[in-house]
Amino acid sequence: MKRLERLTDALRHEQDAQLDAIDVSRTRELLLKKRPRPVRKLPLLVAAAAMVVVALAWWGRAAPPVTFTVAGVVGQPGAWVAARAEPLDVAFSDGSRFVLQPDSRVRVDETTAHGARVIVERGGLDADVQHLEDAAWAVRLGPYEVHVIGTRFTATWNASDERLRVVLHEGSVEVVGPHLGDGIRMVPGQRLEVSQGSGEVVLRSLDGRAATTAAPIPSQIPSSRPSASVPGTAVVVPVPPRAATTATASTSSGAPDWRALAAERRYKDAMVAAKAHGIGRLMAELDAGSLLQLADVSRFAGDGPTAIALLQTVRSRFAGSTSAARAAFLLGTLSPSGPAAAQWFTTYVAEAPSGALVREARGRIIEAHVAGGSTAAARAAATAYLQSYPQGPHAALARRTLGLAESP
Amino acid sequence: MGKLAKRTRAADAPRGVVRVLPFEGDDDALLRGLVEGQPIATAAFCDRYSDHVKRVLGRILGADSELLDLHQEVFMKAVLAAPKLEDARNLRGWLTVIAVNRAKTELRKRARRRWFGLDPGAKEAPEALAPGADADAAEALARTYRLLDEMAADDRIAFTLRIIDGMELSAVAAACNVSLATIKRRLQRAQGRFVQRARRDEVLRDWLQQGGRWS
Repeated sequence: MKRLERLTDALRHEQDAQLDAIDVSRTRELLLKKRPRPVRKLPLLVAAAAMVVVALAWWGRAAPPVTFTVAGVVGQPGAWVAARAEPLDVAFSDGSRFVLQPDSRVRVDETTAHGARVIVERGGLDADVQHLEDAAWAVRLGPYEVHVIGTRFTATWNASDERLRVVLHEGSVEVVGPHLGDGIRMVPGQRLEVSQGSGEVVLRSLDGRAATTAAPIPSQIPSSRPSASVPGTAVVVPVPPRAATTATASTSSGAPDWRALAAERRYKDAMVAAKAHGIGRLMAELDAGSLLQLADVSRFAGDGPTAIALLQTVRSRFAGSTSAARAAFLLGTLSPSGPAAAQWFTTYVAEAPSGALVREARGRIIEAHVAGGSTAAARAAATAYLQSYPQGPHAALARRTLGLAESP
Repeated sequence: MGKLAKRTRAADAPRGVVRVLPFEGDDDALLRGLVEGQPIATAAFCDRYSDHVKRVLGRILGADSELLDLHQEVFMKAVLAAPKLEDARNLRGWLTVIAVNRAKTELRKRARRRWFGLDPGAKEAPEALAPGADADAAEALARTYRLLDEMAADDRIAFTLRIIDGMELSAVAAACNVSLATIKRRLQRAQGRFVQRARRDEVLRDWLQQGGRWS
């Protein structure tokens, strides 16, 4: 009986810790801000019907194509644009942006409601394409075409030696053209170089490591295709026919996917799957949200070092983002309570001053300073906390730190 | 009947910010203030019962990313329904019933979505793990809720509130708005099914092999 009670206690304790991390203070704010009123269904039905009519009318309209400016001047589809000694900015109305590299010549060939087709005659460009639903962008470089959904990448075409180079920073692209079979799908952190003349195709990670991130399967590489130029440091990665998934969706061996296992709350199994795929590869491939998710999985599996490494990857790869700030908070929770933890929580507050975890972070700063014996810093943090959150969950600790009597 | 504290503007408060002082009344005063739409009572209502509602929802559903939305819905519904509550002494129990009903609706919705293949269960992982948390317990907890996903909503509610939360049997019956005999039957059925499935789980099996309540 006692062992079962121990289990029940452990489950309850563990869940309490998880529930503590969920901030429900917004309920109070919401109720104070807007008192709920009984719903009158008839006006709602009328309003809904009206919205349907408006939506149908709107749907029937043909959406206008995106427009663009070249260095601030309205551009015309079909006209050639040339950058000479300086980069040239081509900005689209959906927020997408192409910066032409010096000595490049480009034409915005065709615009639609969902994107444009950009032809690079020579030189290159840095693309930052907005990830919008139904986005459809294409960049043509010589005989090659880069299909884009939403991403940041650099593409250059050297017409004299017929070499294509694509460097992918974020998102995913698919490159089609000679020697690429059904195409090559790239993941962030990869560089693709194709020589149309020699047929050499090289895909490698930006840090020079072997680019196994797109889950190449040797047996899928046709024997007629040229091999990598530097064996062991780069590989040729053809995209399997359209049904192929990206590396982040499954493993090449058909092993269980860490996301699916995590969704089933099988955190240890998920970590085994992630490690089988390669934590280093995932660090290079995944977007910020997925990295944070994998860090959570690591923490729940009790693998603190991996969680820390993943969070630090978020900090370095997505510096300045809300995800990076959140990573700072989590790094604080994973650090031994003391100066290091205080520093991470302080970083979170600085980077996300209106973030959902600010109150908690500021409370934990007090805890960390107290634990680290930094009396002056603890008192300063406690004073600041009480000014902002006199009734907050760390208010009692703050008062004790300041030697104040508890409020009734 | 308690007295409502006067609402005052603190001299040093930033312009335009009204500081709400602690509510001093009992649940009778709280309910009256709630019905009258007094912000101080609304705030106090949240302060007193926010953690309780979060715990009830969390026990039944697990600590997932939708808990905040459900928490808000429960309080919204409670504020709307407050005029219908006649006896403030039962404020906590009444709120528990609302939370349990909302959780039950959510469980059924999720079951429907799973049935149609619309919800693969890809919930966000819980927000944060407390420093020093027990990884084995986290794994056991995760597996427990995975098994609970296969259980009927009524049985799951009885199991989570009684076995995991440790709520009194009579309180569980009241929260589910059923008789004590009915809740006992549900609990017995839920325990039996849970143990049967847990014994096939490699992690939970280890916990159960030592004997005890579920063995």
